[in-house]
Amino acid sequence: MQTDLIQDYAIPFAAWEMRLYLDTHPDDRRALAAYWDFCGQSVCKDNYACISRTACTCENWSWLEDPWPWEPSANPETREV
Amino acid sequence: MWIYEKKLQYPVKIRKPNARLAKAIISQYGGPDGELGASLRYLSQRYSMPYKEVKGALTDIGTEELAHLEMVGSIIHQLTRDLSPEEVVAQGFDDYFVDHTTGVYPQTASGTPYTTAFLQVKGDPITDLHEDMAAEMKARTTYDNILRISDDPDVNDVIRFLRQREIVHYQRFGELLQIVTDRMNSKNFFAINPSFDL
Repeated sequence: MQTDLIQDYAIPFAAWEMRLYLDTHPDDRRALAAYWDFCGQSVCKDNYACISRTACTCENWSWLEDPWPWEPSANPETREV
Repeated sequence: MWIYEKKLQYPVKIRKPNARLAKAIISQYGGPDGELGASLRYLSQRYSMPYKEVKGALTDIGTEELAHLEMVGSIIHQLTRDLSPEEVVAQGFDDYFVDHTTGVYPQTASGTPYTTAFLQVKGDPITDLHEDMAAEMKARTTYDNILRISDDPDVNDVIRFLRQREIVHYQRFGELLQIVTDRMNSKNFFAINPSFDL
């Protein structure tokens, strides 16, 4: 039971908490290392905290990079203009 | 775009039904300072934010509030199961039951339906971040009040988790406010709106 709690809930939560912290401290290298440490554990690979493809580089917190989806430059053309 | 993970952020496992308590806790589902308002507020505010840290944090925190909405809904669902009609009446649940049976309906503890009037999106980053800090504190106080009137340890364990998250979100919004004001000319924070004037 204890292992389930830690593997299934506590570790994904720890990764998520690092993610929120990285949103306001994107240059904190220790935080980035901790995030990837948590996400590297196999239980985390597909969970809510680690799943975003755009946060996939290990170099920096690229999750924040512009453009965001609601901005025109993030979207391709869907018709001839 | 949203992906759904089929697991609660924190477990909800309540042994003892208590419809009276459910009626109070439902305010964190559809009430003025509840999780539905929080998620809609943050996810709506992010479009007019000029800085990437704020866009990212509002997206992530707004998403986490949806996860909390789900947890509160789970609490209500578990607190209102296996009730006899006599228990429905005895626990003061009959007025809700008449309209919703044991469905989970977004409303305040006193029965007012959820409304977007509970939140504001002002389109000014300093203003909106102050709104967000206040929202987190209001939610925290609501959880404080729930803890005052609940003596169920299964419920209180979850409520304490949700309460702590409000405090952490408050911290993040404070940092975002700092980031925004650092980016602006300190002589005229209130003279321009970087979402509109720049």
